[in-house]
Amino acid sequence: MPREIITIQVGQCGNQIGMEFWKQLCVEHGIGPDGLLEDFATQARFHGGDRKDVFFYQADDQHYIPRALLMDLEPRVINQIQNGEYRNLYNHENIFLSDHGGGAGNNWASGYHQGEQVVDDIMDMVDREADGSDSLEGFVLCHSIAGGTGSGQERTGMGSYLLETLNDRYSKKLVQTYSVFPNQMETSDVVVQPYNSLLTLKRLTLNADCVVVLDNTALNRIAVERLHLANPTFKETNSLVSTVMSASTTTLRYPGYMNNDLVGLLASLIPTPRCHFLMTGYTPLTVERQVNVIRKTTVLDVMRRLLQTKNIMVSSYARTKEASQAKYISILNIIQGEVDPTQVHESLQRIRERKLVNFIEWGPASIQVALSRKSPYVQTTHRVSGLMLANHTSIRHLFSRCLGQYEKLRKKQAFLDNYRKFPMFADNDLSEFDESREIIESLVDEYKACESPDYIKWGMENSEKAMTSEGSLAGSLDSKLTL
Amino acid sequence: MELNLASPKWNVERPFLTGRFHQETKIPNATSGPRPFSLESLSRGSENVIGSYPVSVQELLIIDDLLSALVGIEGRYISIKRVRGKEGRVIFQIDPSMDLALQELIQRLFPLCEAYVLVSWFVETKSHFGSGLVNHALAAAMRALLLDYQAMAAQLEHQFRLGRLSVQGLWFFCQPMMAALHALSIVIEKASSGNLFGSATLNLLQSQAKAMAGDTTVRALLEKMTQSASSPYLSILERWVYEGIIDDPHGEFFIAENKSLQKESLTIDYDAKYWQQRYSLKDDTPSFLRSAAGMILTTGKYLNVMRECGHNVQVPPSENSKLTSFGSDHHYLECVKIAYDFASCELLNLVKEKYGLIGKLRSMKRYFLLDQGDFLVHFMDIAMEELVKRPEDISVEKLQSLLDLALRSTAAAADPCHEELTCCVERVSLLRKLSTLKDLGSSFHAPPSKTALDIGDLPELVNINGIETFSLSYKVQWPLSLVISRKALTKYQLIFQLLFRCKHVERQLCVAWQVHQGFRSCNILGTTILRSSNLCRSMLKFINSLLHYLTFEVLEPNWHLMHDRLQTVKSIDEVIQLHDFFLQKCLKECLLLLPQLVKVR
Repeated sequence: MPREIITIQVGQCGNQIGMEFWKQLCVEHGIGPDGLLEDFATQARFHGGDRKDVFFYQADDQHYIPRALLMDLEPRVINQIQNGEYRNLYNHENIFLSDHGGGAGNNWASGYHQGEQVVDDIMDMVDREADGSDSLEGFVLCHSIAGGTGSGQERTGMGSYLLETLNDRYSKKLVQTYSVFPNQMETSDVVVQPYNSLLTLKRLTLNADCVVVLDNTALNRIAVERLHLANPTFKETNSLVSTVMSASTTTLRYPGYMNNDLVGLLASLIPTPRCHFLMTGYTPLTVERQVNVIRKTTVLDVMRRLLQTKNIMVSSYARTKEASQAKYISILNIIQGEVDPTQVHESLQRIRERKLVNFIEWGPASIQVALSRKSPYVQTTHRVSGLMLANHTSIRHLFSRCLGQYEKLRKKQAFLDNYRKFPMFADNDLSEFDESREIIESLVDEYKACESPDYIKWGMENSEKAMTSEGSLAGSLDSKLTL
Repeated sequence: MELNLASPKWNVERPFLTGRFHQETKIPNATSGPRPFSLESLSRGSENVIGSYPVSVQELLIIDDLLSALVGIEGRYISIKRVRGKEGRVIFQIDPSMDLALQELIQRLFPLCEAYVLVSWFVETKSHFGSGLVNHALAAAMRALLLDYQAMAAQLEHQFRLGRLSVQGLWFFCQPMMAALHALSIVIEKASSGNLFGSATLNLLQSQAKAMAGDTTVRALLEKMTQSASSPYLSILERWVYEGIIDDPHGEFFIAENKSLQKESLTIDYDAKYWQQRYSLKDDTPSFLRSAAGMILTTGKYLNVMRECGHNVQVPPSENSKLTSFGSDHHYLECVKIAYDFASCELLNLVKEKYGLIGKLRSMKRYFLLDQGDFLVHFMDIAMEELVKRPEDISVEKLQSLLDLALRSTAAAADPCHEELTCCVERVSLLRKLSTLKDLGSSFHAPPSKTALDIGDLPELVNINGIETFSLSYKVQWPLSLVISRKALTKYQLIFQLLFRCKHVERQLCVAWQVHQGFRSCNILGTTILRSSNLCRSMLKFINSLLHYLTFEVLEPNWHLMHDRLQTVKSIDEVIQLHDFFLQKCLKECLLLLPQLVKVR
């Protein structure tokens, strides 16, 4: 059972997404809510082709069990799962609920601190799962960087702590996260949200190999505009996320010519260690219960739709002038369905001719296409569907916005007392904030530099600075290589 | 013929029984003067020349002689001379003292007598064991005609005894036979001068019949001869097109079997000629079959394949399926066509349904063209340690068990064909292999080009390792080995090796990428790390684009094309052709045939 992936879902949002994700995987692989293969899936004619073992393992009684860890600091969502239709799917040993319960004032530091205290229990679970796999490829973490509304923001702190620990303990394994960013249009009733976002962002920058950014603002917008839902519920926006998650893993689950491992998938998308924030787009979108509007889907059609901003699940906060400078660093389109390979070539050519994509100038770039089969068990009205994973420089505006909100709050020195109660910020040591801010700023700078044609030589003219930084890097290089 | 089977002794000892006396030397007769004993006794001791009798007596005497001459026996006044150098040819001579008018009349009958001798000579010689079935049949038909002729001679004698026969009457009664035997003697002349055999005899008969188009009786006779002569040939043909068996003791049939080519060679020998040369057309195709020769050959070939598979398939007999004649109605061609359609359809079904050709091709695509490459990812994970060794240090058994493990634990496990897959380690690298395979149509072998020589002389790199020489192999069973022959497999292997190496490079780059990922904590702007990670990215981009090109723009579309066409094919030959075309096109488009591109190390 090679190249397994362990999914860790943290917090209310993470668990909700995760729940939808597993539901989706079960449907696609013909696994019933109890973990047993459905009758139709055991028939020979469907055999071959799908890889269930990347995300599931089989118990002694042939049950398929997700390689999933469910964690939360308060029991509401997990209770929901435990009482839901899929309650028998999960391994109950893999559910972690903190004894402390919720509360603690939506404080990231509280969650981080709690994480520190329960780390042994959690890592026991992680280790057990990791030992159960032949050659673990990596971890997928589902979480929200600032929680939803209401209580529970401290869970982001727990997620952050977990990221650090994972990165520390499994330094050779990949860590990919699906991170839901808060809705920027609504003023959160959690006033300290900007603090929490910033602190989490730092961990995402330093401790994850790849972050798939899912912006609640955009998800809401898509739900309203594209799916015509008047008041999209969390469940509905979460199902969008799970669609993206399952689509982005199809090349692992339905192996094809290329991209049969996670590392290959990510390596082609991520140019430099820090620029690992990906945007996604998916088309055609449907949600359950919705009467499908049947439309013609061709490869070109799908690819073109994927490039439209309105289909991208990250809002663009850039001003017009900046937006025109934004560039794609890399694009991977995963096309599912019955596709004639010649169509792919034609579509790419058309897109190139029309100059629909603005690529970076400092290196080779093009749209990569991965063709993947569709699950035979899922009936869709469209022939072709597509997911775009893109590394786009305009993501920096999202971070700038987070930074801006943080600055506003920080200038007023507001609500810092809550943080000072915890060890990390004890004795009025707010250096963690400053450090995080610095890292996010440099991240924004790096993305900005990517827009320039001489990105590679960026900062090189200042030879003195280059020399010193190289010196320090050489030191850290040594330490890394000895790992 | 080589068997040296002689005709029985009495055949020689009693030449008059078989007409063989005509072939016995008559030279003593001609030179030593005295008549043979038998004739002596008949001569009633008369020394009188015939000219001394009155004409009416002369006529009676000569009719008596003539009746003997008609069956090739010398008389008192008619002598037989052998023509030197021409076997079976004799000349009849008449006593010159006879009445001139009578002489003239008698001499007109001599060609008939000569023809009879010739025909009976032919019948005797061609009945001989080595002459072949067609000649036997022709001889038999002629013998039947000779019987009629002899009956005619007997009746004439009867009339003569009754005193009702005059020379004119004789002349009149002989007319029909005269034309027939004359036509036959022409045929015999040609046949024996060319020493014709088998289908050549048939060709001759047919062309003679055509040439005699104006003379209906002769033509009918020749056609009858043709029909009789061709009937053994037809039964050979019938067994071939209906059962796929060559039943041809004398080597007359126009299809030859080369038993030294074994079907096993298909899976072993790169240049296996089994399918092309196991059965082949000879030069002497009968003209009436020339248009259908190819079809006849393949029909029998297909039936043969099925028999080799243990399926005793016969073309179902129907009322009209009996091959009776090569008549102008071309009924036989229709029969052949029906048999061909049946055989090709049956074989195609057999190969497709029972032996699962499409499934096999699909699994070839999965393993060799990495249609579902997940097994390879796992295999490379677990086998890398072994693969980086030098080829001679690699344990193939170990690789094989690792491969089996990888196959069992990935999506390939569901494929029933995965057990046919074996791995092998070549001694030479891909490049070298390409340059040794001569007939790929690559420009490696363009003689004037200098690069070709360069590669040919290239010393094998010392540090070659398993990555460069690893390849898969596949156990192909008869009859699928017709399609997936050693040569086709080799082409698959070439493509696989290219893909394998690309995948390997991709993996290495991914490892490098992961190392770079370790620098997240540093701001890498303006450092060499950035440059190196950008280099890594560019290389990755290149290898990904290359892989994308190879798979999605070459292999997949071509495979689709072949797959679609395979649905509508009519015969196995078409399948083989499509498959070869697919492989050749893939090789070419994978740039494997362009040394200057592959040479980059």
